[in-house]
Amino acid sequence: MATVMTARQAELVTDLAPADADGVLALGVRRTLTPGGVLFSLGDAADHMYLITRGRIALTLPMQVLGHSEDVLVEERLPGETIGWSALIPPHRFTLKAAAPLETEVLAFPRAALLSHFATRPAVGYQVVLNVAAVMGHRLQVLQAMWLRQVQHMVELRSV
Amino acid sequence: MTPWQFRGVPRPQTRVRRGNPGNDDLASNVPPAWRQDEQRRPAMELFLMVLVVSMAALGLTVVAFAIANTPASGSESEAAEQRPVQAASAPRFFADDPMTASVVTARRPALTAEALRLHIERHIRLEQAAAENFLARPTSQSLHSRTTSVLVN
Repeated sequence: MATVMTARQAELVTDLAPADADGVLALGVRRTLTPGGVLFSLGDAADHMYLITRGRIALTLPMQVLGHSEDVLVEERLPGETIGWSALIPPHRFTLKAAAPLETEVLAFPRAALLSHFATRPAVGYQVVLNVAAVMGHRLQVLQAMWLRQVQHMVELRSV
Repeated sequence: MTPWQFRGVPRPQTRVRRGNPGNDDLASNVPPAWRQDEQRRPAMELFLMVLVVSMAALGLTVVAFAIANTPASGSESEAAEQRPVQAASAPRFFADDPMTASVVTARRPALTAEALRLHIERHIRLEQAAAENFLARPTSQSLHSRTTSVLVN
């Protein structure tokens, strides 16, 4: 995926009519991150969902490595991808840290604005939530497979 | 030293030569015990000479062995004891600087942790790719395909 995209190609507004997609995208507030800038930290209140329009976002988790707390890269997100779905799903807390390894631009969608928009346009809300669910479901399946592989490695190590 | 000196007995003045007819008269005046001693003397002298020389040689060997071993092991152990002291006390200019030492000790674990972190991230990427591959073609083989990650190999 390119480092720049048109907002209409974003996974958040997939399968929406162009007018409906524009309506949702209009809720976003453009935000630019300098290299190393932190979008949100682990445990922060999740009040915004984000759509990356340029650059890249690194999602990290803290790990204890040789007695030091290190941010270990878990995933990288590129333009067109959505991060921060915790803004729509209780308990509205971020479970990862998001930072920009290079200059990055995002559209920040406030939860209150989204919910208000969806309340008046349920079909749009339904499709957006389906799109977010697809992102969440894919991540869940990937993590489940990774976890199973890890358990398998442990079993193999124990049986040696 | 002759056997006579060794025994502390004064040596008789008269010497008896066997086969010398001029000495027969003198020999007849020598007491029989003396005459037997005179006959054994050469063998005794030879035996004592060999014994004394052997003892002396043995003594010299023991002394030489002791000299050869004792100072060598002593100097070795002393050197071994002194070596760490010398190494510890040797000036190490920049390393002895408390400022530099703190930077070095702080940086060394950080570098190691950094290397380990990179290994972990590579492992996560590989596992993620394997998981994505499983989702594309969900089979038991693709789920448990081998990885090249150094963290599990």
